[in-house]
Amino acid sequence: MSNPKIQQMRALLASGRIVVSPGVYDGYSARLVEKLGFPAASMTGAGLANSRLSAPDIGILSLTENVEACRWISRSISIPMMADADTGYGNAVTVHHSVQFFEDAGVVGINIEDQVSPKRCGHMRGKELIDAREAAKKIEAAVKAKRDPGFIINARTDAIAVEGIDGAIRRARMYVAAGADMVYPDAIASEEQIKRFVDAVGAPVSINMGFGIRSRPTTQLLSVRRLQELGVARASYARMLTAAAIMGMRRALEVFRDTADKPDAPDRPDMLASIEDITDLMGYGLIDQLEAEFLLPEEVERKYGSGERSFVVRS
Amino acid sequence: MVKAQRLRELIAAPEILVMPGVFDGFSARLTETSGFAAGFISGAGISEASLGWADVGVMGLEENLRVVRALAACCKVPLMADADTGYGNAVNVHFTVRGFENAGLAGVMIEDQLWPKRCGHMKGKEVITAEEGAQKIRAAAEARIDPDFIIMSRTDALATHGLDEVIRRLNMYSEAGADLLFADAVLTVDHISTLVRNVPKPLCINMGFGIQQRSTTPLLSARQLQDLGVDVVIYPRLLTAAAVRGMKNAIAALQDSLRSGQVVNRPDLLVPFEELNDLVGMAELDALEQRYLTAEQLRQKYRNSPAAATA
Repeated sequence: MSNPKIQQMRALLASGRIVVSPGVYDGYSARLVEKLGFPAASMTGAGLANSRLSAPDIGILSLTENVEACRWISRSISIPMMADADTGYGNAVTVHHSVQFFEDAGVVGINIEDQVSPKRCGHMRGKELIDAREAAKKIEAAVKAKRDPGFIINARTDAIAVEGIDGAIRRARMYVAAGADMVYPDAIASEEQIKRFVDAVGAPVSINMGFGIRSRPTTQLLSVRRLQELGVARASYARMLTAAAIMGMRRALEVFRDTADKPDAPDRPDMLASIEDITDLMGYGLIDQLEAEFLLPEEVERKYGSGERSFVVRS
Repeated sequence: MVKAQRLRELIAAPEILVMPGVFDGFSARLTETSGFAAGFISGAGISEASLGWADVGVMGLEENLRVVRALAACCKVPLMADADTGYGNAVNVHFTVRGFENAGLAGVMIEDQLWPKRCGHMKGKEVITAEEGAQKIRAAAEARIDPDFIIMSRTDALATHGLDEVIRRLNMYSEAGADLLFADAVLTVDHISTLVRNVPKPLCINMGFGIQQRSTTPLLSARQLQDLGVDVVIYPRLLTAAAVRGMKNAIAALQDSLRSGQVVNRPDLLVPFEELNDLVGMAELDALEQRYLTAEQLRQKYRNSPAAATA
């Protein structure tokens, strides 16, 4: 069974325009990215480890937990989503299985990186790399494991922090020779480095613009337009939505905590999405449709009586 | 278990127990670091965040357990979980309660809706009979291994049968062994004070969004609820709605940047990387590396820079 989203993603990458792909990590973020008109999403492994396991991104999230999350989230949206397969969860043999699991989960491609396991977030200190030849073999195993030839293998290298930009370029070329569809130099420092990397590798390049709307100490913040001019094929924003959700929650908790002792509850619709926002986002409309189509008249009568036959109590 | 005992003390304390709803690692850790004494895991939040689907009974026992186990493991404060209808009849409830207790929770909520259930503030609810509801609570109370593990019984009968039936049911559930009684989607202050006077055990009220009005339960402060005699208040929608709002604001800023072609730097909309790392426990990781990695391993990882993962 082929996945039509793979062709969608291939078409986006072939369009000549940079594919802007915010990082998602749960149902809310994935559905928001789709609803607000982005053509593609990228699942962040760090976001998954942080939100699903409440653990740092240091290789605690396992293959099956990651695949399970991707299966649910990709099923809840209609735009293509790439996944983050970390190191492939083992050696080249493991990678064979990992690729097929992710392909079955409905994602359109995966990143595989060249860190030593246990890996860590690319923007942390203390990264170590596996031998470049071993990493190239892992990419080759990944490419040969695809069932749909359109499935995208995005080879990530963490080499900049360890071997410098030249080491990263050397590795990226080896991964392209091994069949990678795209290469991704994580924690690349500057515009100048991006330009050198893109010009040197001769394959589509994916760049992680991190927080997207907030600068960080590692990668220089560049606009999408500038990335496009530099020849970047895809920009992901792995940390934007986790950091935005935390900011939203932190502010709400602060207001809530600081007013708990006040006689009146504060009404702050500026700080929260409304119940209609949430139900519209999360697919309650589909439930109304399914009930109307498939429940027996007496079941509907029991549930709603003579009232409006829709789940959501609107204000 | 210590957390169940702690939760029992918090419920019994004269001050109202305030439990923000949590649904993922970020919200659980924020609730703890903001100084709240306990958290209530929202089933709707788990279904929506972890599965990407509405809270209409798509999520099963195992998906729920997988999430709550991880959250309980990372929090020092006690967490209550939302076991929906208990995922079957009274027999299933036995295994469901054991599952949540084993997963490290301090208590569990079980409701009397007909499966497939739906969010308590939606239309179209149906409930099982009061007798069956009471037997499910009895099964839950007798299934627990730690006698301190909290069984919270929820009734959704207000919308279907009215307040008198809610009071009758909560009394039956109390008799069957519930520790904490909860009527969802109450509509007026009068409902709340009538409940307080007519139920024999601690009462929990759902204040939804907490800092935003909704069309069902009127918005009251924790102080006002305490003055009415309420023992526990939960805010299941506060943090999901805040996260969605935060993400929408960030996406809007990114879209401005896409349109203008200019970089947008908005530290007011995103927490910094350092705060994110602190929140999810990177300091603990650094300490573990220092303690357990060999000198050679540390040298391989950090070469000449300080041996701490956070850049």
